[in-house]
Amino acid sequence: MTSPSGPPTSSSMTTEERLARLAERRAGNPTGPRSAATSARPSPSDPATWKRAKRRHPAKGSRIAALGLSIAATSAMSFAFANADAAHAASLKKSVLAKIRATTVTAVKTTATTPAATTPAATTPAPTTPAATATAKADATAGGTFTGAVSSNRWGPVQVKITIAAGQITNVRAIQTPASKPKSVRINDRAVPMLKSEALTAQSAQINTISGATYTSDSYALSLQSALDAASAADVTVA
Amino acid sequence: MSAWWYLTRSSGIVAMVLAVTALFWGLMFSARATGNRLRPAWWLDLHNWLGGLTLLFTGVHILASFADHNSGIGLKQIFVAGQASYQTTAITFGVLATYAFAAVVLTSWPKLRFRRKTWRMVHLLSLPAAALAGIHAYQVGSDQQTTLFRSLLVILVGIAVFPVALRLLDLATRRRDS
Ligand code: HEM
Repeated sequence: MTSPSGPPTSSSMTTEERLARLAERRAGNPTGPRSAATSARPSPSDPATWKRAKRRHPAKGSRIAALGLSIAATSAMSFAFANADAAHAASLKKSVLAKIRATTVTAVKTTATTPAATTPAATTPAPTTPAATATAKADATAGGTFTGAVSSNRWGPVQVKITIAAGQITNVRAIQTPASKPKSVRINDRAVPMLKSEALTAQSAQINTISGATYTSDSYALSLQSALDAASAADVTVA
Repeated sequence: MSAWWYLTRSSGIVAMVLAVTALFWGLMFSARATGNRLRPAWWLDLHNWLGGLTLLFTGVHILASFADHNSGIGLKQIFVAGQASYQTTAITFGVLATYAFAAVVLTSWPKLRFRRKTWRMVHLLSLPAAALAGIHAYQVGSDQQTTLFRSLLVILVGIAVFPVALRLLDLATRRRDS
């Protein structure tokens, strides 16, 4: 490449300026020593420079389009992420609710044929429900511990184990929660105790979703429900 | 609040796309592959702007992750490399990429003048910075497992590699001809 004639000399210019000058020459304007992109500031008192000032940003339209597109893409994606989460939560909730309704019927039937349990837990294995791979150690008329099915979501598996005594859920222990990402661990460290207290208060799987932990909340409710299913299949009911 | 999490993800993706587009624009310009129909001054102006936008959206991304209480990102994790309590290396890549992008954009500021060699050295940092940002995104991103996100990354790698190859070819040709 030959060096262009006239000041400023190429050694005193940044590469950008050189490229801009090259750009100018390629655009068919070999006279200007500096490109439109790097041209001098216009003088407010010199109308001749006003027109040049307009060309300080030759890609003005494209700049605005790029900014607009970026803002639109960010907003649209945020909206899509929120929507996907909401849709997932709604579909899970639907299946949890359907299960809860089905269990209520079973529980009524069980209560009618089996007197309320009051004796301490024993170690008789209980049958697993079809929906759950739950295993239970229980006294058929009293209480016991029941392990819910694993409910997996996009962050990992959730599984709970419940203790029922005297017709009450006395403990819920999360034996599996998503742990592949430290971020999940942090979220669950906060959410799991809250979910436990929700379950103990509700004495059912009808628990509120914890904000910021929607996937874990839904999977927790599903696993809890399948543990309750396992309990009722073993004739242990929650009053 | 989840809204910050959504914003972290979406602004991160947009920043990544902008970074690769700016890279593409700059490399196509220096490889003189901008075609005849488009004015090079326009091309260069847009390249500068895309670089600025990359920094802006990286800023939004960082601010959103800072505002998201579940992200574990605080001031120390943003400014100091190796401070994150999880995915330390991947977050560090994000931090380094941010510093590199900031240096590239600031040294190209029209009012600031640097020696050509210095400017060029700093400007070339945009290549490793884009690679670091890509690894960062793939490792820490919540969407890393989705097909859409993976496809986007593959496309972005293609968009970045193509002009690099073109530029290298251009350099080789010029060296041979001179
Ligand atoms: C101080 C610097 C940075 C910090 C602290 C940071 C932090 C984070 C965090 C915490 C995430 C995970 C968000 C999630 O939960 O999914 C993330 C993801 C991401 N970051 Fe960064 N980041 C930084 C710089 C950058 C830069 C420079 C870029 C690109 C130009 C970038 C692009 C991305 C992308 C594309 C994702 C993936 C988003 C998704 O999965 O949807 N980040 N970043």
